[in-house]
Amino acid sequence: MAPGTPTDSPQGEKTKNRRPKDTKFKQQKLPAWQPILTANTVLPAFFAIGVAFIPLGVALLVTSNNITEFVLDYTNCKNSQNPNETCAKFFENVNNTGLICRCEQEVELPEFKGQVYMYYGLTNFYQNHRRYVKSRDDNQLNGQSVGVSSLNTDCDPYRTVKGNDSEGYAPCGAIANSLFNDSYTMVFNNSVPVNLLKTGIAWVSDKSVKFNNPSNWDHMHKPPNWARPVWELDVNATSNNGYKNEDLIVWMRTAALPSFRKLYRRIDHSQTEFKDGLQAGTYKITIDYSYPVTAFQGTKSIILTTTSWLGGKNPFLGIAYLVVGSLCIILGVIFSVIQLKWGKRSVDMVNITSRETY
Amino acid sequence: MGNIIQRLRSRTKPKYRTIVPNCVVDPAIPRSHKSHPNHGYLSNKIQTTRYSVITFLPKNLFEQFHRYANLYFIFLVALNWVPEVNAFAKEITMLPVVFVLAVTAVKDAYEDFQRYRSDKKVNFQNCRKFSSREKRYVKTEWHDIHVGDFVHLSCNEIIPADILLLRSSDKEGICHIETCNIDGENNLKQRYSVKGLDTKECEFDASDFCNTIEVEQPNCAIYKFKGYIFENEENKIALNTDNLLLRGCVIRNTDFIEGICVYAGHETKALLNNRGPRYKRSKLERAINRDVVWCVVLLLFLCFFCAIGSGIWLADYNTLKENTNLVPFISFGDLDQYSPLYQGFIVFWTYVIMYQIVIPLPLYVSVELVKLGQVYFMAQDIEFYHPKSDKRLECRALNVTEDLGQIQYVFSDKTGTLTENIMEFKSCTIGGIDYPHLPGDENKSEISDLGSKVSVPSRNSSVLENLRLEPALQRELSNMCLRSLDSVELVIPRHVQRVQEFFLLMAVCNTVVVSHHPHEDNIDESGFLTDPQFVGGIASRIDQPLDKYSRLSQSSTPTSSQDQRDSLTPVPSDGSIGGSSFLSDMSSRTRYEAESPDELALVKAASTYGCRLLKRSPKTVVVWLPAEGEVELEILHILPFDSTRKRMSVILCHPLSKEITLYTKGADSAILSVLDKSFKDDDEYRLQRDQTIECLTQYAMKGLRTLCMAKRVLKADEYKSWLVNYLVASASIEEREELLFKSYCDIERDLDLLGATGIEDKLQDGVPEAIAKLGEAGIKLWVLTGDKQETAIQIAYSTKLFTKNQEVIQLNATTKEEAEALLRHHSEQISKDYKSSIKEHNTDPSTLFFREYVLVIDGTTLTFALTEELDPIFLALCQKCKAVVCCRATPIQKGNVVKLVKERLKKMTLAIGDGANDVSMIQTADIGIGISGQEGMQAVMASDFAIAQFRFLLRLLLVHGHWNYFRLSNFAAIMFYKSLITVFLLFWFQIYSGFSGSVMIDSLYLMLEHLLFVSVPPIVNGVFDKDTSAENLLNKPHLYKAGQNSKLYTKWTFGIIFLDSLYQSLVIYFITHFSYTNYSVGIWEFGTTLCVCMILIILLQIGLETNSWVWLQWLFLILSFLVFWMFAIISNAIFFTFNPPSNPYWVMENTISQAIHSCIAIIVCVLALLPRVVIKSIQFTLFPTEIDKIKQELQETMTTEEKQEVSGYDNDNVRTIQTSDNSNMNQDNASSTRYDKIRMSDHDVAACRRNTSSFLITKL
Repeated sequence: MAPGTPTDSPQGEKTKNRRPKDTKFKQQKLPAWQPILTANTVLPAFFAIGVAFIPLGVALLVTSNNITEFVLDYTNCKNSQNPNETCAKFFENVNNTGLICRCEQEVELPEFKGQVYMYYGLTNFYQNHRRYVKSRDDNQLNGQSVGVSSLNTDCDPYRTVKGNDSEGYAPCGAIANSLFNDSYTMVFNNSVPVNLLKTGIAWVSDKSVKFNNPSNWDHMHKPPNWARPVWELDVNATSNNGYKNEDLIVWMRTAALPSFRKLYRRIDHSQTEFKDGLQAGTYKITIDYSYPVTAFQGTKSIILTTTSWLGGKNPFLGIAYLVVGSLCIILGVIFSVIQLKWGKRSVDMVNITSRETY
Repeated sequence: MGNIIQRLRSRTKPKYRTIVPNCVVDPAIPRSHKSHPNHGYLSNKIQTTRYSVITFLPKNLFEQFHRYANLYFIFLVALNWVPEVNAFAKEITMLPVVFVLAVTAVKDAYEDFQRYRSDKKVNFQNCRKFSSREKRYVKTEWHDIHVGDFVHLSCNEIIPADILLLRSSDKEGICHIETCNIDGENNLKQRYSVKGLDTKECEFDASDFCNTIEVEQPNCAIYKFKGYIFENEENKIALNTDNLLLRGCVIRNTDFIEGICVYAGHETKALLNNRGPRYKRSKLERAINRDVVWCVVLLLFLCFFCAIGSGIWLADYNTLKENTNLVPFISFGDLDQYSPLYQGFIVFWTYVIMYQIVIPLPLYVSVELVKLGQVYFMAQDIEFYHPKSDKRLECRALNVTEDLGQIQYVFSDKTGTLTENIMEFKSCTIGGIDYPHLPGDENKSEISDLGSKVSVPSRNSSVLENLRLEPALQRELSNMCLRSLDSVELVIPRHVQRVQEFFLLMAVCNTVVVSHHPHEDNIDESGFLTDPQFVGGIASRIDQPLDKYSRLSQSSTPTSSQDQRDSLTPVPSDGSIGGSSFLSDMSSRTRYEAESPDELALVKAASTYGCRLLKRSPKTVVVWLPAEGEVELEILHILPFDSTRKRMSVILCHPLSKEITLYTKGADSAILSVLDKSFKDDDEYRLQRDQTIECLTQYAMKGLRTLCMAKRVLKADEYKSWLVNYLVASASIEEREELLFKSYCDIERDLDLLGATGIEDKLQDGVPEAIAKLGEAGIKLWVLTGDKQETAIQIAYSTKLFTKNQEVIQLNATTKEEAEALLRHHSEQISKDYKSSIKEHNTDPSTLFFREYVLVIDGTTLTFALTEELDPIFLALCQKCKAVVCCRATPIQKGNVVKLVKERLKKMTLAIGDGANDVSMIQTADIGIGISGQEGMQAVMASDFAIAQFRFLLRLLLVHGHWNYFRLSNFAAIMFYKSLITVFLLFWFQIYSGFSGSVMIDSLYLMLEHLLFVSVPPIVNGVFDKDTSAENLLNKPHLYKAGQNSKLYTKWTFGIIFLDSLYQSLVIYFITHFSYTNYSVGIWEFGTTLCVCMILIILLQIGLETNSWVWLQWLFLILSFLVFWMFAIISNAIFFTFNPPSNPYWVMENTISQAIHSCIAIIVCVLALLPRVVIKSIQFTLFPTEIDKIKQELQETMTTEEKQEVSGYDNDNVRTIQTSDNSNMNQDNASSTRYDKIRMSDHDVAACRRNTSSFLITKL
């Protein structure tokens, strides 16, 4: 603004008085509260937290302990065709993706009560690797008619068929290409096969909105590691075929940590034998082993578990609550001591100094 | 911009510009054409805007990209476009930068729009310029005035451009202007129409005037102007400052003026003087910048660490060398890409993008916002309002608000700063006889008695109401008066004559203007003559006046003298105002207006004694003398005041005796040195002189400002010979000033001393109390004044800067050696005293008493002390003294002293002053404060803050300074904390994702986190939070020391923030990590839980760091969390794929519907904040700071009071406290309701509530 120019000229005599308005807001005199953190005031808070956390911790622990879980690491299970060789070794030697190494394991299971889920677990598998996480095309998976040329370049090198840019992979990218393809069957007492449900394992939102099949599969090919193209993943049920295949959907939701488990199947509890869960007894689990993990020092396991409001079996949270709760109680005690021993004195000190200085 | 153009132009152009009146030029020639004589001069249209609608975007962006921080972030955005490197989706990364750029751009655009509006307002004001076509003045708008146009202005109109005064309604060609808009001085200044043109018989007429004018190229020197009018080939008339009317001034006391425009628009002196605001960087900001550097170091370290980690991790998968297909999660197209070194390098840049948040991008923008808020509330503080001058605090600099809380040295001017600068005549000495003007009641009656005797005209505004007349003096004057009435021939004793001459000098030797009568222009607003003979003129005249004056009153700028001006504003009348009618009530309208308050005091005092100044014109002065009645004296010359001579003189010619007398008044040193030496041996004379000098010292001791009065009777031939020299000097063009100075000195010699006056400059209200409290606050106060040593010391005592039991060290040296010896002597003396006092009181150290010293140094000694060899000793000595007073200091010395302390001692300095002589130190100091007082606006213009009274400084520093510093240190800490915790959280995840640069939190959240989710509460705290109340800060000044010693934001602050955020991020990450083990959790659910915890903890931490809660803080804290929460829920309910790889559809909904999420959030919040709560409460209990102690005291009194009146306590109030406070420990209201929703066991919520309601609440 230029000086010497009559800019803010008052309109008439209204602005004669430049006195600021005496409002509580403008004078910064709004009612205010000053919470003070002293040993005295935080003391009850500590006890209260302690009192709240310890029972909660116990509840969490009990919940976790009530979960029945069975884990079978089958990384090095024996090839049923060649008992001298483990399946891991088999794949090291064969180095061919199309092959299957079958292994059978007999396991003694405790009783499972309630809904039982079957998970597969992988360790040392970095599904959260930056380049891996990116290597997908959500538009393609959503069934939008994505031309081969407009596929997400992050899918490389599993975007287009090598040497032919007009032919693409469906679905493209490293995630899809590395789809976990071991399959399990389970037989109770060598006679009763356990029915495993393929559906209801993925998020409803994923299945209904995120994953959709395109109108056609022109110029699309199966990813290099796959045995079948995506439109043949589940030929028996159209609602579980193509991109809507729940195994694919579950796999495509990349895991947070390098050791993870993903839901594989639900146990069918409509069978009379397994109405209230799984009976205790001997089960024979047949594994079609076709997913090599030894190259990255990974392990594979099969997990049978019941569930609770808290999720899977994990005592960590319960213990954490107990520890923090006890810590708060201990701190409360320490603070009581401090308050008793020094609390008064500090007040005296204040009075002395205030008298001295003023 | 204009300045640059100007500079370029002046470099290539000759020294002078030639102006031909536009009416002479053929109107067919377009102004821009080369053949137009006035082409190339700027028009009067001003444009202060920086942008136009079209240039705004490119230009503003260009300017913003000049800032390093912005460049850095632009670099990151660019980096993110490299496909190998990219960390986030390309568009998302741009979000923060775009946001910051947009906010700044909006701010700039708004400011520019304001400028545009004010420009428009200015450009479209009306005035009248001469139209050669219509042969009369026509109404035009300001922007349409060009160099060479004739302009007609009426009384009270604002001058639209720099105009050369050619004609004034006044017979002598005088025009009065008020320069308030330029230098803030409210008194009237005289300007003269060009001499020489007057000598022609005919009056100036616009249509006849065809002379070429040559003036200097436009420059910014307001008080310098040179030029000529070429009357014909050989005759040229010199022009000077007195002929120039500056743009922005207001015509006063003159019916109308006419002139030619010589500089217009941006070439006017007023606009050339308009410098942009200075950019200062505050101390805290420097500390923040230091920590930003730490952030950069941390960034580089993390990036290197992760890059190396990535290489090592990748090297583990050496099977890849054989077959890229074996490790499914590492997808290389071909084997060549598998190179740990190369991938490490690539990932390094990815990390640079990822960890960019460590440098808080919005820090600078939000710091500015916080300061804006602080400044707003400072300006609103009613305690700074001074009703008498109708002024409040004015903040002129935005970026040093927190420096106010760290001041260690205050440098103050004396006159007008510590004192009112309202001068009161207190005593005088005439011919060696002292008239002390003792205050007493008995004088009162005598005044009224004498009043009738000497027929002092009825009391009016020109007479001092509260001056107690000295009876002895009155007697002398009345005697003289009687004598003159009875018998003129009677010989008047020499002393009585001196008395009269003394008062005559007081009344005459000055620049005081007697202003009265309303003014009527002969031309109306549209340029028609308002002469009755024009029929149209009558019609317009009847319609116009109301309209015209309403416009004038609108356009007059608001100043403190509004009332005064109202009385001057003519009342619209039917035109019957005649000379006689207004002369009759002249006395009631008489008003003195002077350039300096001293002069006003003298004239008023003289008037009270019956020696009244009635009228002044350049040639004559009419005075009423007790002995002679009304006398018209001819003024031959006025030799104006300048700071080298330190005196002014008038040469008068008595109408009857034709005696030519020189009357001089000035500083004692300036007069005493030029006294007549021929009387040296005359005893009577010597006695007189000695007595006068003694009186002067006494006056100075009382803190009065002294002036000496002297006269000299000039012999006719002596005068004549001097006149020749003088005329030569004044006509010379090149060295006029030097020659004039010489000629002034020639005549001002051999003076006869008449006497001296003492004028009191009253102390401002509350100055001693303010100084005492500043002292308690640990602020050292130095007074730098141009006044005399005795006066300065006296003021120092009366302001309690010095106390009686302090020892005053006075340093007066005339040579450098002497100065050095003095400095060394006193330094040693003090250390000796110190040692001896320790020895004496060896036995009982508690009663140890150190003598306190204060230092007084004069200007000459200061010159030596400020030299490079001596300044270390000088500084050392000063530091040992409680206070320092520098007297007789020149403006430059003032600046140098401040610079010395600021640079050598590395202390925070503040300079406060009110006059032009303080500008140097105000600009040098870390903070400059201007007092908007009597002496004009120059100090205010140079300052960062302007206050009305010195005592407001106390509140400004102790309250607002402290608050601002406290708030901004907290704010900066929170800003860094926010960034660090985010970055560490991302870092921990890298360990579990193969150092691949993977981000588990949706990049949308990350980018918006610091812009939206957690940005507002710190800003609100930065504006509203208080550590303690204003009353406490004022009552306990020692609280200020925390800021002085930079206690609140230290080197360790960043370290503590670092550790705290490291710990908190560890807690957040690993509790979440281990809780989700054996849980089928996707990367985005995992990240969502982490992000919710992080934002919750950041907000809670802000809550913990909040000292006093007002509803605003609650509101924004809760709102922030809700905004994040709702944003996450809503954005995750929409299917979109623009932000790969995170396709967050339904992630938030799924995550929060799982009980484990809430269980994690609760324990993480408790555990993360536990150490801070523990340390804070232990510190408060065992090692309370000064402020904590006050809080405790307050709490105790409150609790006792509350116990007593617990029943009377407002129940509603209690409820609100409890409900709103329950979030303090664990979670916000928002989150607690959420926990309710997700069926968290009720007893937990209840427990939380119990915890937190037990927090002690004190009402501020």
